Amino acid sequence: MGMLASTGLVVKLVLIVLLYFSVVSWGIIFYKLLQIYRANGASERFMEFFYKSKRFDTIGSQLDRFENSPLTVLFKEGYAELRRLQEKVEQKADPNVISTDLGGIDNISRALRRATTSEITRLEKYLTFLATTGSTAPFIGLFGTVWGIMSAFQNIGQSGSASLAVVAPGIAEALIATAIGLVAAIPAVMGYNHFQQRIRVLISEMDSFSTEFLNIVQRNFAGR
Amino acid sequence: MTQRFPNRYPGPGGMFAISFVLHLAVGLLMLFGDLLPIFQPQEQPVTYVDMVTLPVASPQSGMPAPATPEAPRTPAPPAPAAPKPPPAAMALPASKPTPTSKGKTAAPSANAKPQQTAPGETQEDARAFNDRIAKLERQAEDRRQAEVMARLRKTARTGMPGARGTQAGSDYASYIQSRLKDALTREMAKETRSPLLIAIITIGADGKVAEFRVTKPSGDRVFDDAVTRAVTLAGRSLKPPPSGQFRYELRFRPEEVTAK
Repeated sequence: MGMLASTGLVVKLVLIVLLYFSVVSWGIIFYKLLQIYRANGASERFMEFFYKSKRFDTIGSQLDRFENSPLTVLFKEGYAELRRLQEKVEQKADPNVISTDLGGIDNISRALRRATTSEITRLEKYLTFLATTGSTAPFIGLFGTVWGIMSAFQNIGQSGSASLAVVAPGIAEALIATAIGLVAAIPAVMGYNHFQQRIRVLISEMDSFSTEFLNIVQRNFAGR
Repeated sequence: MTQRFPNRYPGPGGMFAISFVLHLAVGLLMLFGDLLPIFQPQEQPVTYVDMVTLPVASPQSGMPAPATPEAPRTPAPPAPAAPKPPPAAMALPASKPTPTSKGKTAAPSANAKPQQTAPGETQEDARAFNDRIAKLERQAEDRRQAEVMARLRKTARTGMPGARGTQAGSDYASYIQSRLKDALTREMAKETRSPLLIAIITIGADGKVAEFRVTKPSGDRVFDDAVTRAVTLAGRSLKPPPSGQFRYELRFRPEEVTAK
């Protein structure tokens, strides 16, 4: 406590900023851990259920079971668009046939793409803060250290002594800013890289699911 | 519109709160668990240690005087005021310290009772004690210097047999070698194992080094510099050569300076 209390005002402010970065970073890390791991688990279960089911309306009625999966959102959007197209062609002879001439498949594809983009945005939300923390926290800490060392040297000059007992505490107090900066930055960088990799996997799964969904629609609903 | 299901787990706000509590816990643990380094420069207690024969001012910190019969006869040290007194508050003897019998130096024990002194006598006694300490220190320093001089005289290298090496004899070359070797011993520095430098030195009629020309460097820059420094050092106090200018070729090795 004494070590922190004897630091200067600027170093204290730097430490407060770094503490804020660290608190928010860890909050984001916890949130993203929960969000992405639940999304992964729910996606796996949803895909299993999706391939087992014979009808879209059966899947549509069971979506609440996989609420954390981004694939359910894609399915929901695609299925809703499919239903809207079906309603439009109900007056035709075969209500189960979507005319590709009217761009029905493209509509569903666009709906799936929009849902994918929306889900990517949701998954990547707050990750920018982790990147910012990882890249700037060490520099903020370094700034605090440089400032602290400047103050320490001023004190050394005023005291007129350059003994280790005079020099060392000031330098050590200044270095704590760099230490806290690294403490804030290291988990942020690690979390950012980890979540980016997991999100890439989820994006790839969403792309695969979109393609699969469009194939099924074209195979079963589109005429000619 | 893209529709989302409501999240059942805590949102970012909840996680920030959890993170804050976690940081608070870690911070408190560091503060109250003494995990942060504390810098408190320790005040070194000032102790007076007798390196030769002086009495120990602080028995706990100092070196006890030898209690052998061969120990120099010294006056008994003043009894300390407390088992661990600071130097300023050191108790002083009420009277002059008396020499111990049979040369036995009485090292003050930690259990010695402090002598009772009147308040008015304290300053006078302190001055007397300080005078006595200063006198003893002077005597010890004189003795030490005499011993050092005697040792130097014994170990001084000679330029020729029987000579002391501090004056020019008939063999001026040996004298120069001796002076240079002494200087080289003082200035010795080298990086290689056994460097060898060959040089020609010219001593002027006034005893100054007129020229120092390296004919073959050793290849060890540090050693070459040491030789140059040694020549400069030795050149300050050389006697003039008996027959005008003196020119000589020398081989400098770390352990010796010889004629080529």
